[in-house]
Amino acid sequence: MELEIKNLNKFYGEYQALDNINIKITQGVYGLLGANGAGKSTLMNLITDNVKKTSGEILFNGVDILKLGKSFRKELGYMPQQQGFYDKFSARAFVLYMAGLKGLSRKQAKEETDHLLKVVNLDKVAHKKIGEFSGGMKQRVLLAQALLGNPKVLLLDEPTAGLDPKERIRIRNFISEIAEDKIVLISTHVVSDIEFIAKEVILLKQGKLVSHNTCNNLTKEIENKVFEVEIEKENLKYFQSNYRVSNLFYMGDKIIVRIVTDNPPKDYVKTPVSPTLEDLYLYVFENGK
Amino acid sequence: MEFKRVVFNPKNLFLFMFVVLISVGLYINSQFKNEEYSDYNVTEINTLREQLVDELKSYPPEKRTEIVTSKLTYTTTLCDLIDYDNLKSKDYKAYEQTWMESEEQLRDENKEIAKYYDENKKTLDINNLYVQQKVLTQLSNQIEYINGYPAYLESIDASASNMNNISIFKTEDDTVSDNIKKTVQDYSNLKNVELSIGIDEPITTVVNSELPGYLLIIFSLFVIFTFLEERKQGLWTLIYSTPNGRLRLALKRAGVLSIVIAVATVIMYICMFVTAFVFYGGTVDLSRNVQSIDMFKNFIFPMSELQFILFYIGIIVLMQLTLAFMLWFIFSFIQNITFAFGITGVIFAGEFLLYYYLPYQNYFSLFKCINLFNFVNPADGIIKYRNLETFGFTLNMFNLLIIGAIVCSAAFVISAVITLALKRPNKTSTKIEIQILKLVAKVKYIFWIIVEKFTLIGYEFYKILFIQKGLIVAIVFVFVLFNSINTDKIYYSATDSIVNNFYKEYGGKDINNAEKYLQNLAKEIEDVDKEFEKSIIDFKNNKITSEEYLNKKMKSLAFESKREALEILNERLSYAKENNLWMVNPLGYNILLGEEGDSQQTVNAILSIFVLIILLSGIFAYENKSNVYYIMKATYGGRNYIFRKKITVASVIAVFLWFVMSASDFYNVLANYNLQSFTAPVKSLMFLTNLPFETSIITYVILVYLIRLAMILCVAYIICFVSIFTKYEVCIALLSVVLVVPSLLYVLGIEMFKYLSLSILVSASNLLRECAGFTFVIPIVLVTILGVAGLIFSNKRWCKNGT
Repeated sequence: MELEIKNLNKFYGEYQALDNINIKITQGVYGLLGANGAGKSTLMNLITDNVKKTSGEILFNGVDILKLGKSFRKELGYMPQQQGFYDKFSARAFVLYMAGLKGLSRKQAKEETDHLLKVVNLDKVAHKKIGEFSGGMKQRVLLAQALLGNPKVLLLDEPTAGLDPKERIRIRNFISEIAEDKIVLISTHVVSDIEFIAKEVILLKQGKLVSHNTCNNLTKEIENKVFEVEIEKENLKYFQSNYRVSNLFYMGDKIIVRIVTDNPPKDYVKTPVSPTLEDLYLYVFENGK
Repeated sequence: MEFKRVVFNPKNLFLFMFVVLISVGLYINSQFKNEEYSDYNVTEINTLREQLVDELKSYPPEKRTEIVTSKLTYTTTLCDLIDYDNLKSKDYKAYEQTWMESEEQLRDENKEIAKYYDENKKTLDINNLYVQQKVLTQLSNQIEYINGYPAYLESIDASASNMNNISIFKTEDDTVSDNIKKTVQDYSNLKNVELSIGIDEPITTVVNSELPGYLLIIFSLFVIFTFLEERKQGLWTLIYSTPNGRLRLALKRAGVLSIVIAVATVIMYICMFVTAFVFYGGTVDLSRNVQSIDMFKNFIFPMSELQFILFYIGIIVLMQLTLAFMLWFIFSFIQNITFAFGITGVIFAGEFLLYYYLPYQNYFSLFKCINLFNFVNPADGIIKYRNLETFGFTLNMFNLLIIGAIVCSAAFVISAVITLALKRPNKTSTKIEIQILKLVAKVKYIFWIIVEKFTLIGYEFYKILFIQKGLIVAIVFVFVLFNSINTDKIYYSATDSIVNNFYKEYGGKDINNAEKYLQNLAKEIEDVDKEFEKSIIDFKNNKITSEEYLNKKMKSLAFESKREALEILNERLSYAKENNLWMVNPLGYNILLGEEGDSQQTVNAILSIFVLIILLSGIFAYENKSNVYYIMKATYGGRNYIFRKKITVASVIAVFLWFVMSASDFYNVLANYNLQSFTAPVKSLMFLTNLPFETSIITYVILVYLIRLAMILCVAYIICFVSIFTKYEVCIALLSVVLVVPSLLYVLGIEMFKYLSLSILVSASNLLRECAGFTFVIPIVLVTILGVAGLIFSNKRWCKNGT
C-alpha cells in the first residue's frame, strides 16, 4: 500500500501554498510538521479532494485518487483541523450519520460507533448533544468518525489539539496501535505527538518540502548544533534575540539556555547535547538565527 | 454598545417586523371574517357608514333619531319585501301559509314604500339595501345608547341611594357600603360627558385584539435570549470577571430591555390603530369622548378617543414591561433554559387557571386581577368598572391592575438585576434542580435512542424539521391552510337553489331530459304569466276581486327566480347542445378550477413557495454552516450518495406541501359542494371553453394538480441549487425576493408582476384557463428547465472534485 504525491502544486490566486511536493509514503505513522501557513492543511485537503490541485498527481497504489473517486474515499479516514459538527446531534447520532456516509451497514455502523466512542472515552456521553461538549471532547468525536470503517489511509489534522495530557497519550497510543496496516498522516505543531510514534517526519516550510526522513536521521542533521549554555540573567535578552532558544531554566543566579545554532557563542561555557525533534523544528522554522 | 447589540441584532429586527406584520395581517383578515359582517362586503359597509355618520352629524342631535328611524323603516321594509319574494319563489305554499298575512300587513302599513318597491324592484340594488339596513341598525343602536346614557348614569346613582336606604347595606364600616360610595363617586366623573355618534370599530376591534400582546411576549423572549447569548457561547465567566460585567451590565440591560420593549409596543399598537382607522375610517371622531362607544360606558375616566389611544398604549407598555421583566428574571435566575421554559409554562398555566376559573367575588380575587393574562390583555381591567372586595378592602380593579403592574415590574427588574449581579456562572444545582435535570436527561436519552435509529434520510429530515425548526413551520402551514377553509354553511339564493336542484336531477350526459324539464318549466312560467296578464284584464273589467288579482300577481312574482334560473340554464343547455357536451354543475368546479378559487389558490401557492424556501434553504447551506461539508466530502457517500438523499428529502417535502395544498382545495370544495360528472368532457364547464385540448374533467383535474406538483418540485430544486452557494439566511432572503415578492405584488394588484409571479404557475388553473392556445406550456417548460438545470448544477457543484 502506497500513497505517492508527485510534483504537487497548489496556488490560491497568486499565492503558492504548495510548491512541487514529492512524497511517497507506505504503512505507518507519518508526522507532517510545519509552522502555520506551511501548507499542511492544504496538503490534507488535496488528498481528501476538498481542494482542487493546480498541478501534479496524488496516486494511491499507483492510481490517481481522482480516478479512484469514491473507491479511494472508502479507504480514507479524515479528521479536519477545523471542527465541523452538527451541534444538535448527539455524539452517537453524529458518528452513526458519518458511518452511513461511509457506506457501512446498519449493524456494522452500530458496532463500530459504540466501539470507537469507547476508544475515545466518550461512551458515557454518547447520547449528549455535541454542542454541550468541551473542545477536547469534540476533537475525540471527530477522531472517532475518522476511524470508522477501518480506513487504510488516515489523515489527522491536529488530532490532539485541546486534549488533556492523559487523553493525548491515550489517543497517541491508540493511533500507534492501529497504524500497522494503515498509512497514517498526522499534521501537527505539537512535536511530542509524533516524536515517538512517527515512522517518518515530513517537514514543510512555506509550501516547500524541507525534509522527509526518520526522526533519528532528521535529528542527526542537527547533531553538534544543540548546546546548553550557562549565562547571566542580563544576557538572556541577547540570547533570545540572536539564537534559537528551545528551552531555559534557572539554576541559582544563573540561567541554562538550550540553543540550536550553526554558530555557537564563543565566549560562553557550552555543553553539546543530543538533539530532539523539537530542536529540529526550531532549527528549521525559526529563521535568521 | 449593549443597546446596539440588541436592537441591531438581525434576528430581533426580523422577528419584530414579522410579529408586527402578523398582527396587522391577522387583524385585517379577522375584520374581513368578522361574523357580524359575514354576509356583507366590509368595504361597502365602511364607506356607507362613514357617509351616513357625516350626514347625521350635520343634523342637531335631537333630529338624528328621527332621521335614522325613518331611513331604517324605509330600508327594512324594502328588504322585507325582497325576503318575501324570495320565500314565495322557494316554496309558495309555505309562504301562503306563514308569511302572506305578514306581507299584506307590511304593505298596508307602508303603502308608499310598497308601491315604490313594486315599480322599481327590477332596478333595485338589493345588496346595497341590505348593507344600508345593517349600517342603519348599527347607527340606530348607537343613537339609542347615546340618548340613554344620562339615564344610565342616573340609574347608578338611584340604585346607590336605594341600597343605602336598605338596612343591610347601611353600616358605615362595611365594605359593601364602601363599594356603593366608591361607585357613585367614580361615576360622578362622567356626569358632564358629552357623547356623539361616530365610528366605533377602530377602537373596539384593536382593544379586543389579544394577539399583539402574546406576540410581544415572544419578541421579549428573543430580546432576553440576546442577553443570554454569552451563556451559550461560554463567555459568561469572561464577562463576569470584568469590572463592569456584573451590576453595571445588569443595570444597562434593564435600561435596554425597557427601551426596546416600550418602543416595540408603541410601534406595534400604533400600527394596529393606524390599520384600524384606515380600514374603518373614523379619524374625524378622534376628538369625541370615548364613552360614546357602548363598550366604554363604564370607563370612568372622561377622555377623547385620541387621549384614550395614548392612555391605552401607555398602559400596554407598562404591562409588557412587567411581563418582560418577569421573563428576564426567570431566565436569569434559572440557568438551564429548558428548565426556565418549564417553570414559565407552569407559572402561565397557574395564572391561566386563576384568570379563568376564580370568580371576582372570591376572597382571593386579587390574584385574578393581578394576573399575567390581565397584563397581556388589560382591556377588561381598564374598561369594565369593577370594585373588588378582597382581604377586607374595597379596591377598584383598574387601580389594582396598574399598581400591581408597577409593583411587579419594579420587583422583577430589581430581582433580575440583583440575580445577574450576584449569580456566579458556575454554581451547584439545588436538589430540585438536580431531580428535574435528571428527568430531562432521561427524556433526552429516550429521544436520542429514537433519533439514533434513523437512516441517512431520517437524519436529513431531522436536520430540517428539528434542528432548523422546520416542523413548526410545517405545522403552521397546515394550520393556516386548513384554517382558511370556509366551513360555514353556504346559503344559496333562490335562483341558485333552483339551478342546483336542476343539476342534481338532470345533470349529466343525457341532456334530453334536461331539455324536456326546461321546456316544461318555460311552459309553467308562461302559463303563470298568461294567467297574470289575464287577471289584469279581468281586474280592470271587474271580473275578479282585488284579492284574487293580488294572488295572481304574487304567484307571478314568485316565479321571478324560476325565470332567472331558466335563463341561466337555457344558456348552458344551448352551449352543451351546440358543442355536444354534458350538463355539469359548475359551482364546485369553479372553485377548484375556475376564477372563484383563483385568489385562494394563489395565496396558498405563495404560502407554499415561502414555506418551501424556509424548509429547504438550509438543506445544503447547513453543511457549510456547520463545517461538516469538508468531512462529508472526504467520505465514500459524501458526494453523489448524500446528494441523492438530500434531493429525495427535498422532493418529499415538496410533495407534502403539494399534498396539503391540494387536500385543502378538495376539502374546501367537497365540504360545501357536490362534485359530479367526473367523466364529462372538460369543456362542459363553460369557464373552460377556451382550453386548446379535449379531455374529461377528471383527467383535467389530474393534469392541473400534476402541473402544480411539477412546478413545486422545480421550485424545490431551484432552492436546493441556491442553498449550495449561499448561507441559510441569504438563501431565504434572496429566494423570497425573487420567488415570493413578485407574486405578492401581483396579488396586491400590480398587474405587471403577473409575468414574474411563480404562484400563477404553482396554482396552475389560472394559467391554463387564461393562456391562449398552448402558450401555457411555455412558462411551465421554462420553470421545468430551471428546476432540472438547478438539479443538475447542484449535483455538479456538490459532487465536483475540489472546491
